[in-house]
Amino acid sequence: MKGRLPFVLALSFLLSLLAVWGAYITAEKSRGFVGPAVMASSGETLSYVSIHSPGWMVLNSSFNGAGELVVLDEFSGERVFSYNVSEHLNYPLVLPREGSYRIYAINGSLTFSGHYTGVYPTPRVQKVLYGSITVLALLLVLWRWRA
Amino acid sequence: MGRWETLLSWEMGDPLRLAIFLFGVPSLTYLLGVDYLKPQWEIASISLSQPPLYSHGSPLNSITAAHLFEYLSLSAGFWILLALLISVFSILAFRYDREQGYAFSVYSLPFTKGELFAAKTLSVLLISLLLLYIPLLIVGIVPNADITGVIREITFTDRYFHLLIFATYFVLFSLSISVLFSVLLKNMFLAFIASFFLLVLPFFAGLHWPPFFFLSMLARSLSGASPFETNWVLWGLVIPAALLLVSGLIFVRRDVL
Repeated sequence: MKGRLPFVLALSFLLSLLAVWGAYITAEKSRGFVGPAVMASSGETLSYVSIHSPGWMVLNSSFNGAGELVVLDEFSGERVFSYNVSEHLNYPLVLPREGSYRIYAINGSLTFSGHYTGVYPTPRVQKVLYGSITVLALLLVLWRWRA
Repeated sequence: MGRWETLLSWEMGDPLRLAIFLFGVPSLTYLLGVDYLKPQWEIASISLSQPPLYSHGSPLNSITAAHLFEYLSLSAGFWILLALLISVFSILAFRYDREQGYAFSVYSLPFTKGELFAAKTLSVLLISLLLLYIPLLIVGIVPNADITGVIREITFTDRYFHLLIFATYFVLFSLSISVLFSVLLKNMFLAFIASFFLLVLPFFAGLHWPPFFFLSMLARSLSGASPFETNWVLWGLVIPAALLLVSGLIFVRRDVL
C-alpha cells in the first residue's frame, strides 16, 4: 500500500511525456495563417509583426512592397533572415526554434502574409523528450523488478 | 507511522482513484500540449528613437510570455476535463465505499467521522492539485528545451505566481462544490450529474460564473491582475472553505448510509 502512490506518480509522469509526444504528432498536422499585416515605418514609429513559434516551423510567406526585410530572433538577438525586397518576395521562412520572432521592414513598407503547415520539435526538444521517456521507463522497470 | 498518516495513505492508495488518475494526467497533458503548440502573432509598433533591433527588455514583454499566459485560458477542454475529474474523485472518495457496502467496516475503525472527512477531503485536494500542476509543469518545460533560461525568467515572477493562484482557485471552488454534492445526494450518479452540470453548464451558456470566470483572469495576470482582491479571495477561498465546512457538518451529523 505504501509504495503504490510514488509508483503511480512516476508512471503518470511517463505517460504525460508520451502525451506530449502525442501532442507533437497532432501539431505536425496543424495548419494556420499569420497575417496579413502591413509593416511600415511612418514618422517616428515602426510597426512590426511579432510571432511566437512553439517549435521548428516553416512559414510560407509572401511580401509585397519595397524595403529591407529583417526577421529577428528576439531572445538570441540574431538575424534569422534578411533580404532587400524590391517588389515581391515569396519565401519559405524557417523559424528554427521556439521563441519570439520579430518581422519588420527598414527603409520602406511591406505587406506580409504567411501560412504554416505544421509545428515540429527541435532536435534539443526531441533529445529531452525521448531521453526522459527512456530514462523514466528504465527506472520504472528496475523499480518493479526489485519489488 | 502515525494513525493519521495510515488513514491518509489508505485514502491516497485507493486503486480505482489511482487508475483514473493514471488516465487523467496524460489526457490533461495532451489537451494542454496541443493548445500550447499553436503559434501566436500580433502587430505591434515601437518608437524609432530606440534602435529596432534586439530590445534587451524583459522577456515578460515578449509575445512568448503572452502566449505562456494566454494558452491556458484558451484551452477550454483542459478545464472541462479537470472539473469532470475533480467531481469524479470527490464522489468516489465520499460515495464509493457506501455504494459498495464496505463503508460500515471503514466507519467502525477507531477514527472519528471528522477525521475521516478531513482525510478524504485532503486526499481529493492533493490529487486535484497534482492533476493541475503536473500537466502545467511538463508542458512548460519539455517543448521549451531550447529557451529554458527565458522560460525561467518568465515563470519565476509574481505574475506567473498570480496565474497559479487563480488556477488553484478554480480547483478549490470545483472541489468544494463536488464535495458538497457528494455528501448531500445519496447516489453517485445523481451527485456527479448535479456537481458537473453546476460547474460546467454556466460555461457552456457563456455566463461569467465561477469557477470558469477565473480563467479569464489567468491571461490578465500578465498585465498585473492580483488574485488577492476581495472578489477573487471571496470566490476562490472563502466560499470554498464555507462549503467544505457545511459538507463536513453534513458528513458528521448524518448516518453512514
